[in-house]
Amino acid sequence: MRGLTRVTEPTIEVLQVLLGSHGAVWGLRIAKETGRPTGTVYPILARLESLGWVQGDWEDAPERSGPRRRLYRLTDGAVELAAEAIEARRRAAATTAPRPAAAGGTL
Amino acid sequence: MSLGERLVRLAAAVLPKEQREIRLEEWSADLAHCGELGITRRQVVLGALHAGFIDGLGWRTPLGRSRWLATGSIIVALAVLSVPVGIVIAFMTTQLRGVVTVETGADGAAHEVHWKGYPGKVQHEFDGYRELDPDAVLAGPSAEQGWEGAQALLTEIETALTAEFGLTWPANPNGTSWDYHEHPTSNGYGGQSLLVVLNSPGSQSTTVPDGWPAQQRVIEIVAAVAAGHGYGSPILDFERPWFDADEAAAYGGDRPETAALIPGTIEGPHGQWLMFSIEDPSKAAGGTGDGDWSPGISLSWGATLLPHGARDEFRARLSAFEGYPRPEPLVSD
Repeated sequence: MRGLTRVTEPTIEVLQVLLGSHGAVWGLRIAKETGRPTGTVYPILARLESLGWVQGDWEDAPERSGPRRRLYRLTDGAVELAAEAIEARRRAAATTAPRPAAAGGTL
Repeated sequence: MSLGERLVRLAAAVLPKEQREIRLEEWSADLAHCGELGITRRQVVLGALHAGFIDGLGWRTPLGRSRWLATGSIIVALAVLSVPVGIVIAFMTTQLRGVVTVETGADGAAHEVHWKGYPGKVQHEFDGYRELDPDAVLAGPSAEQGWEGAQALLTEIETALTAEFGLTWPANPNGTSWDYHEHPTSNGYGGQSLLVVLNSPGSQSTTVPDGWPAQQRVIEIVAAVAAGHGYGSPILDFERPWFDADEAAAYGGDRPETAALIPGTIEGPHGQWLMFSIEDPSKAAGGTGDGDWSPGISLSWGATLLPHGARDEFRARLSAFEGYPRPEPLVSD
């Protein structure tokens, strides 16, 4: 498994959905959960899958006819890395957030 | 297959080979079931196309060498193809629209002049382009009168040459006749001229006077008769600025004294031309008289003239172009 070379906000959001899910998640549902366009989520999932962070599998639903839905889950090795990436992003956001103005003034 | 399915298929087709089947089935399933999540089919299609461009054509991710080459080849091919296609489109547009210039009218305002409707004729010459002077056209004979005059001119020349050299001129050697026949011609600007082109039937003697001095005399006689009809001086092809080694080879010599073929032209006063040629096989290389040479004197006449019935329309249409310099004609005309 290789590390992420580019951690964007949408990538963090996708990781959050995967991390917070119990079991594999339909790719389209990730788009729904993040509120991101499918055109953003699809490439992210493909990239995470190629890096070994995400495992994609076909849904086993014999009652459904037609093409199979693809479900995604974080690989075992990626769970901890995903959590770290999310935490790192949170810390970075906190340090760059504007500080509240001090009450009163100084003489 | 719906449009959405076609577009999803297209998006998958541009992906790397190992991903195509997977993404195609995934996106097709998303397309089929997106309604369960309140996502429109349009969003799925756009997402697939977006992903196809990013992952397939490498808009964001680094491309492998082979994909760079493939993408580069496509771009180069499109660029190369766009040049001739652009030329063809420009050519066709110009042909359809004709030559258009912007001129300042008598009222001082600029307006477009569409030369496609010009009734005369402007044509390329060896060293530029030339207009058949409209005033000269109107002052000259009609096409019908020119045709009659040409018949008289050629008959007079044949008679004069026969009187001196005892020639024979077979009637209608090529099965052609002096029945009047005109051909339409372009105006040089992508439109049709009201002038017409006339070409007489050819006339050829069965024998040719021997040697350059006699042939020089032939030219003098032709020129003298033509001058009586208002024609100018003869110009032999050897004197033309474009005469070169190829022409010399075709004529069997680079001077009239030695060439087996001596062609020349005499221009008439109103756009007519009289062409003559003297063909003497005995002057060909070796002087055997063999080969493709055919002895004789040939005469033909042509002109670009205005038919009598078109004179009023010619004047009317010409008035729209008065005072404007004639632009360069189209190359293809």
